[in-house]
Amino acid sequence: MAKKRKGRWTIARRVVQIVVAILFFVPLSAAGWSALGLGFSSPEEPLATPSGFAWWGSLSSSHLFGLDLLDPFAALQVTAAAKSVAFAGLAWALPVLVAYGMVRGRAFCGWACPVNLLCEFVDWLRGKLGIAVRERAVPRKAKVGIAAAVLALSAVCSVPVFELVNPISAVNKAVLFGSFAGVFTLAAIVFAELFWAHRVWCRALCPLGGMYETLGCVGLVSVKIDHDLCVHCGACQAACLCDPEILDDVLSGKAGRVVAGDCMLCGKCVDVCPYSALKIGFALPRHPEL
Amino acid sequence: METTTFGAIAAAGVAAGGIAVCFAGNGEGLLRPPGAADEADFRARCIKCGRCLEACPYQAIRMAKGPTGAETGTPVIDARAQACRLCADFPCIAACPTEALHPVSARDEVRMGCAVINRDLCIAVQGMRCEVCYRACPFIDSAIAIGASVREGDAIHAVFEPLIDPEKCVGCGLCVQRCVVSDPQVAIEIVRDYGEARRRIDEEQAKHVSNPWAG
Repeated sequence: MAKKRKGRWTIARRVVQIVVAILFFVPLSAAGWSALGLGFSSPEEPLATPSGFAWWGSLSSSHLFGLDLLDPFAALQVTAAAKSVAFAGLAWALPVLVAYGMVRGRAFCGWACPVNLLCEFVDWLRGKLGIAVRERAVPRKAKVGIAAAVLALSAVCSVPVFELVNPISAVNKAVLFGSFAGVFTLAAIVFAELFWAHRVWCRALCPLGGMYETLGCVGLVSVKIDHDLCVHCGACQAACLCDPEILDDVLSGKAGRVVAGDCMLCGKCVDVCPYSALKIGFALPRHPEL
Repeated sequence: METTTFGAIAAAGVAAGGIAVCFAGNGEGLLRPPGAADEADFRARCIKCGRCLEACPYQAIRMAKGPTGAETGTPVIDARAQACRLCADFPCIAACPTEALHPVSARDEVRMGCAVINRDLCIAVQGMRCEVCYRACPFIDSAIAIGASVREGDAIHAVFEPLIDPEKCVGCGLCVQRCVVSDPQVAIEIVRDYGEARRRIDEEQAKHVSNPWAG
């Protein structure tokens, strides 16, 4: 057996997570603007702007090397709230949907989302502090319902509701622009994960995760198992950032890949498997589940 | 109490409190970037992404701060600090992904609001030659004109008073930024609702402002 390179996926993922976290500060500082919305001047002549850079924006909407992007969940909320699909930027959500749709919807959660990065840290901290919490307080599919509820509520209130409390871009926007919408949600998430239930936000509550879980059913990349190598030690399930139950069918021999759209391709299971029975690879999305 | 119960209650409390304060407040009084329609339309569309702010070369667009409120994180213009320069290509509107800032085809189509002059404070109304707002206006002699009248109790001097035309004023706020009066407050402000602005202008015009040099 080839020598196993430990933590390969996790290291790659950390690099991507950190790059995403600092990505949008670059254009701001390149234009000479100060962070936190401080240091605004009142120039008489036009200044260089972050929008002159090759990429700029925030996680809600950005411009990336000639391509304009929009958070698809924000696009859905605005469609519901404004009762309109007649805004040009709606098409900006398509590249995001196509990219994550081709790979795996929740690859966003595993690889890009700063809240998941924070929650992984909180989970590590909770372990260090020795605080015991419930493993599964809310069913993982609840977030799909929450996503639907957010859209319904957005239509009723005529406000993109999740954007009032969105924790995902909260840190991003707080540091970039000095706006603190969403920090309450972040605080609540930290509380919940430290004292209530294991990774409950990402696993069960986040509506953005709910949307990407639905999209994840069609992804072409999956965690695959070699049944001959698996010894059923359970290390993969203990490490799973999503819900361990998504690995049940591959461990019992019923499935050759993780079919759940919920899988965020974090690669934790692959990294911890002592016999290299798991790997991440291409697979057609047959028999998908949420 | 078990830790998990405490955790659940604490998290729910923070979340509920946070959501409550996030819904509170409305942005009716805030000056929005060009292209914004009424506050209800703006609120339905703005996702607080910050792109308009990053596209504004005059740093006139800033984010509404404060830790709470539905308007937190939405783009606002504080005209006194930095007014909108009405860039010909409207980079803020081009940057908006959701048409919270609707496209406009010309500068004079912008409808951010309408200037209203507080005649008690305006030094021109009191008989001085000021005309700073008039000179600052990008639509000089259209959105602001100077009306001449005889000064009360004075047979020789005239009053040259700036007069706003709500049909033409786009609400960019340059007059507010330039106004020489600041104590107790600026003598001119932008009122977002044009109906309200007209009402206030009529009210101001009906007001008798006494001439301090009369007599």
